[in-house]
Amino acid sequence: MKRLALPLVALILCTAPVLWQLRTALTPTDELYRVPQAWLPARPTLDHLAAVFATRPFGRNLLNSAIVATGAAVLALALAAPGAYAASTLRLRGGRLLLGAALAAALVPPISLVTPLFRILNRLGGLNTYAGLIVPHAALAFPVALWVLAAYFRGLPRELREAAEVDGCSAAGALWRVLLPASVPGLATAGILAFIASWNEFLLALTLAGADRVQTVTVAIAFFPGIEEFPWGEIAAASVIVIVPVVVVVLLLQRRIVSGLTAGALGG
Amino acid sequence: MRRTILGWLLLAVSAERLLNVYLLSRHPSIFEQVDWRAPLAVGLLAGIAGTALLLRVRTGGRARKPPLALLTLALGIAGWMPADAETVTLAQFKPRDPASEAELLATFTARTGVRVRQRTLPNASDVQHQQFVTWLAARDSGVDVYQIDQIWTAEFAAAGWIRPAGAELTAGERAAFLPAPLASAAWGGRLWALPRFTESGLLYYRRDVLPAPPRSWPELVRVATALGTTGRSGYVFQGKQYEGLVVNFLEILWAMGGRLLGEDGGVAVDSPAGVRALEILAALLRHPGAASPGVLTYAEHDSLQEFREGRALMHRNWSFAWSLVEREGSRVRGRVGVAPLPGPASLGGWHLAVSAYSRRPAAAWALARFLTSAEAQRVKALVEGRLPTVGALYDDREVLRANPHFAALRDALALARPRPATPFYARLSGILQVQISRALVGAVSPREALAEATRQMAPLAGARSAGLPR
Amino acid sequence: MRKAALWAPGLALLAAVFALPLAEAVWTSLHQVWLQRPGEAPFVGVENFALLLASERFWAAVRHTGLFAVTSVALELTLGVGLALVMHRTRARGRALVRGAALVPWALPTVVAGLLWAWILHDRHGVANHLLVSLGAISTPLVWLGEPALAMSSIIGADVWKTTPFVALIALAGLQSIDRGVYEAGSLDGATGWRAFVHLTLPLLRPALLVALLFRTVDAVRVFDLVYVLTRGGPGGSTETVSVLTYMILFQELDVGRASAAGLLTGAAAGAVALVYLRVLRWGGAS
Repeated sequence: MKRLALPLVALILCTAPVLWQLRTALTPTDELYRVPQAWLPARPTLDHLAAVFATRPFGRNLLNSAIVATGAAVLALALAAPGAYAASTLRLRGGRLLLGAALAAALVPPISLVTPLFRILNRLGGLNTYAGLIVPHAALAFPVALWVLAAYFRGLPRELREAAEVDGCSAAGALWRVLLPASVPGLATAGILAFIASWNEFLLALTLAGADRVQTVTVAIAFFPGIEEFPWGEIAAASVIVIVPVVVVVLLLQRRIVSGLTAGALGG
Repeated sequence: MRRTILGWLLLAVSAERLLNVYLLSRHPSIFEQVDWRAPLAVGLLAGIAGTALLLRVRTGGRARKPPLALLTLALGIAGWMPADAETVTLAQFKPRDPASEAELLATFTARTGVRVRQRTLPNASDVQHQQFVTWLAARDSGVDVYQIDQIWTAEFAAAGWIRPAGAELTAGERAAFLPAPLASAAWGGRLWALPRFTESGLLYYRRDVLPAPPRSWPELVRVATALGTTGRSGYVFQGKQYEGLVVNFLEILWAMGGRLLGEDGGVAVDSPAGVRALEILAALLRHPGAASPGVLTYAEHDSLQEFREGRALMHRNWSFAWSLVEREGSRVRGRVGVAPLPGPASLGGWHLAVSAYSRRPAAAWALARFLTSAEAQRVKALVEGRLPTVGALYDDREVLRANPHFAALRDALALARPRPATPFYARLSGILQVQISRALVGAVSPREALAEATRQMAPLAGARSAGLPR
Repeated sequence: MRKAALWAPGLALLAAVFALPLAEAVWTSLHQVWLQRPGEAPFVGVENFALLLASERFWAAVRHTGLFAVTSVALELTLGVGLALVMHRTRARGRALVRGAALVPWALPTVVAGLLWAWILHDRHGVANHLLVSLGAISTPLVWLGEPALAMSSIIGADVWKTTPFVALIALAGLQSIDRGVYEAGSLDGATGWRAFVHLTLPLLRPALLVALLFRTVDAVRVFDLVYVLTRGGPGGSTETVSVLTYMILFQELDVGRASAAGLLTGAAAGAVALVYLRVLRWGGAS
């Protein structure tokens, strides 16, 4: 029984706030503002959940977030994998330059990017498009993906790396045929990190893709509150809707995430 | 295997798009405004492509001709998209009643043949400001008509972001507007926007507890301190660190005879009147029960909730709050009195301005004029309870029946004072917010707070347009 | 295929998204640029930087950011290692659940987490007050976001809740890579339980922890979303961090020059921190 105590506490601390949001989402508005708060609503209602989809294009927002996050993850991986290969395995000068550049890029506060990127995309006609948000998000996720993959490649058995080179493959061939298939956990980790970074991003999504049809979930939820109304019930409902796919994905992939980091042999 | 997944995915996309079009078609007025041809084409294309893929998988790649033919047909249909009819984009916060807004826009389209695309923004004023500034600074021509908070008029006009409106109204049309809102749409002697909605600060109070509302701010403090308890505080207002705090402060400042900017444009808030005004707010916070304890975190919504739940005796809010106070679900329904504030009230409101970068200024002005006309404002008054900016509507019988409090408000509006019209209002407000808030949390004394605010605001004051100071 | 094709596209992506804005930021930080006046941009040298460094508001923001970063990272590190230990020791069946649950806070958009905590910490309708009052811990509800000290604590708390799982994951990976043999050898020397933890586990976790420290500190220095959603930098500017101040300079004052200067200073500070950590990592890694 004692063994269960700590994990249980950890579980509760992590999930309790989210469960409270679930309770809020199911509480009708007139009960919501009573003091003191009841633990469970007297008359649970699905009104808030329905309102989120009926009065706002929330389904569209979810889709937009998914498209942008997937695109950003794919693009980041596609560029980080060869880069990490060049940096960690082949130890090319260009690869190490890339690592340094990525670290420098990771230091830039997103707010400094907002206005310049807006102006650039405006001139290119890329505002309020998926690509216009996918590329910056991929760039934001790139440093982390690069680092994770570089660490992961370094942790791969030497025989594997040498086998790739001896085979007479070109560098790209070695990467594609030998290294990548053996690096699925690392790729999964990097991909998930990139996906979640893009899923959570707010400032750029607000500025570069604020129009209704490409609005992501973070922007949409941030737009719920207003001058005249602060619809806590709907906000809670929207939060729950956002959380559910995240929980599913995370539960399914938690082993990959952890193993990806483990095999990366941190340090050095 | 991959093709099967892709095929089903395409069919899913197709179903979603077609469902989207179907749902839109159920609302004819919205249907007119939205571009439904694109989703229809995408839906058909995706459906045909998906079917083709799946068929191909099923038949092992032998059946080529029928899917190809269908694909060609689909492309042909997609190609048939009529030339883009003249479209004007309106950027506004989400209307309280979207259906009536859509109908108004449909009426406009029916009369002029100009379609209107709506770009909806959050209600939060500062987020709207950020978006508008970003677009306008980049000379974006994606939006033609902006629904702006009236405090931004000077800022946008000075920056050359909006077009002057003077030529758009005849003298008679100008006279139809209420003077106060119209004045707030002017700057530097010219008119820059058409007033659409107006607001004024009001005092809401529990008339079952208070026989009469207080006549002065010191009296309000006395009443709040005497009658307020932890369960039901005396007075609740907007004390969060944002623009609303400045509004609340200014109303008291003006009642004390003070001003934010002096006649010469210099900063004048650091005066005995200013210190008294800030001390009044601080006094409310000092005595337990006088003001709601959480008032420093409250904006309009939270403070209104306190009052609606019966946890405050008096409440300062904008005129829109009346309908919410009387709405079902409010615990104080039928027991609320509305009175002018014990001093000048602040003028709020929203104007329609035409972007300097709009490619269709004539159509944009036509839309702005339509939406600010008596006819359109009447609809808004009846459906949403919005205060009109056209004077004649305050005598309209139907409007008065739906909103009995409008009669008293007309006079209150005439007395409402606008906040200083300066291109740097956002900056001044930003500085003042922080200092007032510091005084209210007790970090500094009111005198020090105003002195510091004056110090930071001084370089800005007096600067009318060019010569941007630090 | 040229080997350069491996790293060049990545570099191109970074250049496209970061280099141009960075160059523009550097340029605007040396000129007086106002959003309202895109045409005029007189050269002012380091005046923007000087104005910032002379401004009390800027240094207050630096203090707030420093306080936030140090406290939240320290807490996240401690709790993260603790959480990792719990995850490491949990039996297989519970492990997936605990790990999955622990990842949820981290996977939420920050804006969603911010609104979630704003609701929980609401002085009237918030469950935090309700809970504390029912438990008798406090007699009257606290105004979490209305008092300077409480507001900063709330923001730190929300950030700790959200990011501890990330640190825990990294620590867990480190824990799992420690050879069991180390403990067996150690227990022969009498190092068990707490002593084993301090003398065996911690040193071996150092590389992992330093990596977590690096990422978290760099992120903490740039915190924006959470503060903006919860307090907008209030009350009384007591939670205004450097990023929030930069936002205000950009969108309230419309002063692009100074905002760029602030952004560059923040980036430089983050860079300095990163350099320090990397140095320590390299030293530690050698052993």
